[in-house]
Amino acid sequence: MEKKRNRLEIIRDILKVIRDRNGRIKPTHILYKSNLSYQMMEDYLNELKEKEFITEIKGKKGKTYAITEKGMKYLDKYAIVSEFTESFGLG
Amino acid sequence: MGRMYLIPGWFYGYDIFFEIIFGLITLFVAWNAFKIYKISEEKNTRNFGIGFLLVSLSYFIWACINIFIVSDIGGERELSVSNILLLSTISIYLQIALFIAGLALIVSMTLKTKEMRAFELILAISLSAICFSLNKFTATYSIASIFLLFISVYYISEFNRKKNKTTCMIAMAFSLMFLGTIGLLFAGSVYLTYVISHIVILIAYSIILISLIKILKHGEKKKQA
Repeated sequence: MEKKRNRLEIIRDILKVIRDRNGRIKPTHILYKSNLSYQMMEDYLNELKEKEFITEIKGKKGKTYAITEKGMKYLDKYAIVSEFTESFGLG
Repeated sequence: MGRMYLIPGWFYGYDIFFEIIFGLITLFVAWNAFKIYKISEEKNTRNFGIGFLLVSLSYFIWACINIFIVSDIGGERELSVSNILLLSTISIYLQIALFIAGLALIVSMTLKTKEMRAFELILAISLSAICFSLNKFTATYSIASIFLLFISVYYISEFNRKKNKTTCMIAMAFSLMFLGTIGLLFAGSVYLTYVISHIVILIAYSIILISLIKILKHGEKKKQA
């Protein structure tokens, strides 16, 4: 059985999905790719918007999400963040 | 408050050096926690950093107290509140408050609650107990020992859950800090416990420093892989 993902891993996965789609993606694609329930995805997206890791763009065809520089930095430094958080029991 | 602790004459100076080392290591942990917080924006990491920063400041004040306030009593040196000025008394109380607040913040982090009210309650109860106790030094280090025992148990259970070697080292470090703090409780009557406690706490902080360096190196390696 696959290990349950922790918060930091879920955030990394959502940001990765957005980055891999040339930095812009529809919420339905995030839902499909990040393997989360709709409510959980909404919660995480709100948190990521609050933290300014992603921005919401409202267009004619609906909402899309783009990754910000801060979000890219999180992905770049994820290994250290995860190692520190896990070892010091902060997760 | 009377005598708080006795420092053997031959150890005076070394203890200040130890306290500065404790301050520098805890400051290094706090600085790294803030760096991680800047990237992840996780409040637990920020609180952990603030906790270590407060503990660090308390160690620097402790070193200043030992430099400027302790008095020579025929070879040995003692710290007592009865014969010192108001400013010195304030610095002793400030050191106690910062140390307890720092540990209370780390304890509240282990509760995994987003509510700051947990921290506020722990701090209010602890500071009130110290304020109303006759021997403030004993009260401070009794409460600090309980906090450190609580933190040690948390890291032991985290290690059992994750089997992470670094978490095991951190659990060991906090357990040693707990033993060192217990020793300080008797430093007012048996001066050798003051020396032993300083050595045990130095070992504990060295383990924390080694763990932190390991975390940073391992994280950098994982990033490159």
